[in-house]
Amino acid sequence: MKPFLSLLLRLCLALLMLFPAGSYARASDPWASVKQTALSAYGPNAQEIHQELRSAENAGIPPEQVMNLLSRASGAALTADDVARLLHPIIRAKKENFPSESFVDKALEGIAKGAPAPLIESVLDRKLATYGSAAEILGKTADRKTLEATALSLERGVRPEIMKEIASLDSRSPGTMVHASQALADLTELGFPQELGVKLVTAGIQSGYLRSESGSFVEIAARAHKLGYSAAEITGAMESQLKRGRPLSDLLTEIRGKAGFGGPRSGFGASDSSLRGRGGQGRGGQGR
Amino acid sequence: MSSEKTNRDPSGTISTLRSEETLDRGDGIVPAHGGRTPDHDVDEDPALASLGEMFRSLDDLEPPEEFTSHVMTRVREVQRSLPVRLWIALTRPRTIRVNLAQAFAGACIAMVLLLVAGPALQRVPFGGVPASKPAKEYLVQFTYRDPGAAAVYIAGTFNQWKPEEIPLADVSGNGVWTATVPLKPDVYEYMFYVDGHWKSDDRAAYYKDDGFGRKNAVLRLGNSHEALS
Repeated sequence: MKPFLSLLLRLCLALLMLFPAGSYARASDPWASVKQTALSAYGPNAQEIHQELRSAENAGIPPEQVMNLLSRASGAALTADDVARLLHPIIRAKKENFPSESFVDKALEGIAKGAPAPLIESVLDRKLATYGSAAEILGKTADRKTLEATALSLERGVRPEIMKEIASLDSRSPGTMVHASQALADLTELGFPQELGVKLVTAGIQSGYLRSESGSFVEIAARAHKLGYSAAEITGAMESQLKRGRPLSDLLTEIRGKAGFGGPRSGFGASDSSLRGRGGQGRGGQGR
Repeated sequence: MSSEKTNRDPSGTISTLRSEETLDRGDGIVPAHGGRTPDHDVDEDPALASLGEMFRSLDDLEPPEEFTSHVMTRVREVQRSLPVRLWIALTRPRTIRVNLAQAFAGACIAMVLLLVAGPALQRVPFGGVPASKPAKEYLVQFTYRDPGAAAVYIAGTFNQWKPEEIPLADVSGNGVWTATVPLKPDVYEYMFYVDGHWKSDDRAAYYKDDGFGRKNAVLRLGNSHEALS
């Protein structure tokens, strides 16, 4: 029993001593392991990216992000020079206080899709420009979520001046900009002219919509669009509903009912709505 | 101060002892035995003295030979049920002898376990709900239809575009590949990775140009998803 206890005691002591020592070593210089990874991946060519690694460290990019990029890049047979190319825009993004994670993710996407490094670099450059526009629209106080949502909407084709119009609205809810920009991008994708889209979104915000979600707001437009109503008709009907202080859910219920079958022709929305009934489903229905 | 205590004497009458009479010797110091020895008490108390005399006069009797076996037989006859025996075993006070080396080894093991398992316990408290994650998480089922596909995966911003990390399964063999992925409320972009080629989800609600010549499907989870479902 005694030799066993003695062995156990020594083992525990060794573990206790090794555990904090190992943790300390890892925590004290994670960049050392990043550089080590670069060295083992690229050998003498790793010198080409040492400068970028130092810049990334100074810019405050989390080392695990760079480590991830390095290992995926070397796994995809990108050269040290390629890695340096990808790191440039990420470092610039971090220096401008943009979330580096989004840029690293985009680089990883490009690597996964087998895109050549110059193409990934140009995509990252465009992303950086989009984030710059988003920051300009929102101002320096914008939080990360709002910045990312605005940038995503710009990437999805919403024009900066349209986004600016939405950002200038006095909204007390911090999530409104996120949902409004999502709604605008979705409406744009549905084929709504952006001038109409912004009109609709503005009416929505002023009536208290788009504070916590944009789905039902966009769903009404999307379903009405599928029924064959034009963007102008949909905007008019929704605006009219909002101005009368009636919930859009009424409109949604009505559209959901219409979408499934070719029922009797009835007015879309309220009786004084600018839209008139469109029987059945699909575009270009009757009644016009 | 004069506190009084009642005492029942052998004759059955109640006598009253005054504490300062019995304990205090007058110098303010109260001895541990109260200033009187048991012998002294017996000698001075006539009732106790007569009781002692009575015990001394009793004959010295030996128990009968079969006494012990009789007692043991009776004891054996008392068969306790299992729960009672278990309860007795659990509640019986026991003495555990531990030396310093054993105690130290135990403490070391406890510390190592705490260091190793501590972070994991912090992440997943009892009940299985991760503490760092919001309580809300969506189980999203991705579906891809291709009867001719041999291997289908899903990749996107939720897994840093690792192509072969989340496989889809064609359970019924009819070319409908599915995978259920737990995701937090957020906006995600994704594509399918089919037999080494990237494919867009042609049933997605929204898309975004990926910049590399393809279209990522856009998936929004949160309140908007609830409204759409």
